[in-house]
Amino acid sequence: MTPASQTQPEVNKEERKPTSRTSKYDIPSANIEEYLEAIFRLLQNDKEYAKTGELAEVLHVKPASVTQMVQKLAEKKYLKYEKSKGVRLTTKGRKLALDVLRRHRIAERLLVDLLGVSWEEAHDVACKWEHMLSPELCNKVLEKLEEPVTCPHGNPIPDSDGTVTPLPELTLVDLEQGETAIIDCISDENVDLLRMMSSMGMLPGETVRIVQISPVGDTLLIEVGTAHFALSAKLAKRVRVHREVAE
Amino acid sequence: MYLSRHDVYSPRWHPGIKDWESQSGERPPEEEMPVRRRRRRERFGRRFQRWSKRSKIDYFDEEEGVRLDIIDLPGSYTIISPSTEDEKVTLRYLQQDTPDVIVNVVDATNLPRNLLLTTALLEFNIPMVVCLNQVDLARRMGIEIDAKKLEALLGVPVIPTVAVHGTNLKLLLRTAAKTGAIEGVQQKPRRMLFPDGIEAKLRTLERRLAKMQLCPMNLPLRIVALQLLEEYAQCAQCVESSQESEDAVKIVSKIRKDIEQEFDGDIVSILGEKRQQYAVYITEQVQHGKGKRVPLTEKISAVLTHRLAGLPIAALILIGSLLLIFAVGAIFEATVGEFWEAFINPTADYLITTFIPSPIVQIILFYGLVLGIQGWLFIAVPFVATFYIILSVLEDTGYLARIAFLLDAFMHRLGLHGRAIIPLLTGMGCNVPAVLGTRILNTRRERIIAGLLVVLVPCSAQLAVILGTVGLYASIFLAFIILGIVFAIIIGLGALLQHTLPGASHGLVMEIPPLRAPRLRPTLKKTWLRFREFVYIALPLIIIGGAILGLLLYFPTPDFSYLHIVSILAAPLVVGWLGLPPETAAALIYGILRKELTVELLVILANGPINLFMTARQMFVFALVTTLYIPCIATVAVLVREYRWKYTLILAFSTITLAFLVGGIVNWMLLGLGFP
Repeated sequence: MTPASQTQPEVNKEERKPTSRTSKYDIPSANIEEYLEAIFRLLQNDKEYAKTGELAEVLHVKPASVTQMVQKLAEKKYLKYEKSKGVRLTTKGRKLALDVLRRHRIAERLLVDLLGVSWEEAHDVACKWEHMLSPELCNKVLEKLEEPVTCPHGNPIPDSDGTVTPLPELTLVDLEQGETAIIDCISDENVDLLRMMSSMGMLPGETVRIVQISPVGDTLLIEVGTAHFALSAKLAKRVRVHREVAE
Repeated sequence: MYLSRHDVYSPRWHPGIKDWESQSGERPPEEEMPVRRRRRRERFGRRFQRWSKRSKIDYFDEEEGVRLDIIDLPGSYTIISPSTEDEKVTLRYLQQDTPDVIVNVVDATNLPRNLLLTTALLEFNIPMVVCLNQVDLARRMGIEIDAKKLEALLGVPVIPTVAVHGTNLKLLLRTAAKTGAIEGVQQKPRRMLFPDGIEAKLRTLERRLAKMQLCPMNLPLRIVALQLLEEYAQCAQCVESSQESEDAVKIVSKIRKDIEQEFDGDIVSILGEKRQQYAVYITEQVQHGKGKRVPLTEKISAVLTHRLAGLPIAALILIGSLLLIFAVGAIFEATVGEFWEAFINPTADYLITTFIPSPIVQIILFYGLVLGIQGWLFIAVPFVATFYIILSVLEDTGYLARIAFLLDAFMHRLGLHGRAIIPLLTGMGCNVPAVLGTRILNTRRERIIAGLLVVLVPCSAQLAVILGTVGLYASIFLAFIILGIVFAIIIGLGALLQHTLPGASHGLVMEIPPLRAPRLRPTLKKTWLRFREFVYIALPLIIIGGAILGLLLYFPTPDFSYLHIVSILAAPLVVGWLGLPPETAAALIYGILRKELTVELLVILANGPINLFMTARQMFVFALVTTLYIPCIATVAVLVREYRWKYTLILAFSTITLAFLVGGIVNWMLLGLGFP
């Protein structure tokens, strides 16, 4: 790795200049990658467009700089930007975003499994490391770690050709009223939320029944054990489930 | 097998724990009464001192001869690594004011989930009594719990109770007194043990922690170890600030990684799962019958939360409640009000003028005590009390939680979530408890939005102004239009804030209790707990305010008092822009003290019925402005405490601007439409 490619950890994202790398791979700058990754994550929640305001928030930068950067990315054909709706990734942008995500998750694996870094920290450090992993390096790490398929948080690592093996697709919001399902995982990286839901008995392996769906906005009334809970659609989307197989 | 347990496993490392054997006299057990639990959840939270002062209950046990200070802690699901503010408060209390005995209230209808908290509490090495509540409901659901066996498994006394009927409560308190008493039975709590793989590592971590000089957290090391493993931020900070922090962090993350690898998953899920398995294991031992929700109440619940019928029913119930409040108010006015006007006021006037020579004292007494108490009484009894009785009934029956569910998606549009409906509704009684109630919201963003909306929700005093002017002298229909405008503004502002403030609202996770019939005593008790804020905070302010009003009205001279001066100064805005009579300026300024006093002042200024002195248009604008502008002084005081000065000032300024803007626009529109 060349010295120029090392992103200094103490530099703020705001201050980070888009530095083009001098490696033999013509990979876009860390900043572009960071943006595409953030857009991809935002779009994961079944949305068509990501708003620039949301982007500014997740990236901790000023909305003005987001607009500037987004316009630049649109010029490079990574995304489509419509002022009223927000941004959408092009095939090119999506491919690159998936690649960054792959590197991010591999970096997380590396940090957690080999170096014993904590989850939360791993995510932050991986945000920086992801930009310096070359395909060869990725493969080496994967080999060393005996080919993990998910990141430490349980999200799948995309393949090198940019395909993701999807997690079990079904979430609580996909169920009909009265249906029963078993929780597979709660795919949120927010530890507080995980703790709250687990302390209420919503844990993998538990059976959930949809008692009622609210008139607007799909808030769910679910039954776990004998307890009933109201669960916003926003959170219910994070609970991945599978239907019970009738015997 | 991790389910094998041995008796007491106690790393009693904490020197700070209070030794109850050496204490005499006061023994405060801490209590978690489910009857009050939900109420607590919405009202008390952030600051421990606050609710500890408010929810202290004294109990004197004659047989044991001890006095119990019962402290009601916020309802919690977990305690070792808390995730909500309420739980953090509970943990802080256990840490700082180690109680002599814990009364852990367990819901018998849902034993496995409740045992999660019980097993966690057992880790604290504090004597404990388990109160197995709602056994009657459990029986109806087909659940029988063997309390004796549970007692044996947990190693602490288990008392089955039905709190709403008072069944076994005496026995519970007596057991608590005994457990915490000097000659009390030494407890041998049985702890939950994790599988060997986790347990061994936990002990290693404990041993390492014991060797380090960590800042004293007054917690058993096992809990500290668990907190560190579960990445409980506050504990982690505590460790990081100590000298050997690097060491500790390294060890913790190594152990965490080992466990995560061995059990394949993340630590929170692994530990949660094991705790759940343990709770289920104990439940299986003591519980007979699987338990089904009572079919009848479930059917009613299904109707109340129905996709189509749910919202119309909710609207009917809310409108019905409002009409009931108006009806009670009208009856009260017609009976007690007439009596008061006819007898009490003249008598008091006569007594004061006869026996007190000084005119200043006369004015203070008459305006402060006589008119002040009258004004307070006519707001407090018919409006606030009735409202809180209705609210308590809705809450006790479990309907409020269902409203939160129904309106959750709608509240998301306002940047809030379903739970915020509780402070908003409370605000219709009095804004003071409502502002305190915004503590149940977890993020600062939600609290800021809720703070503004709660302040704009018309409280009973503002309702009284609307009804006392427009409703009484123009038409009740116009009064509803004012309410409509106010609610439209609330919704509009909420939507605006949702779009402009950065961030997004968290989702709602809220337990929906089974429906049950309301009971008189708990309902009245809860009403009183809410109502007393109105007594203690509002009444003194009203009396003082009334006295000041009297003085301002009569000095320097009755014909040219300070209020007249103010009226002249504010005339351009009030008369020119809002189109109101000049005297109303004084009333509006006075309304900052208490909103309902504006009407009283108008009556005094008008020297007769208001409709002779103001047109329907003027009353409409006046009532609207009074409802919207700066919240009353008591609310401002609570806002400062809860949100600090900066936000309070922003809020006050923006509500004043809003009120004059809307008031002016409505005024010119009405004028344009040809209203006199």
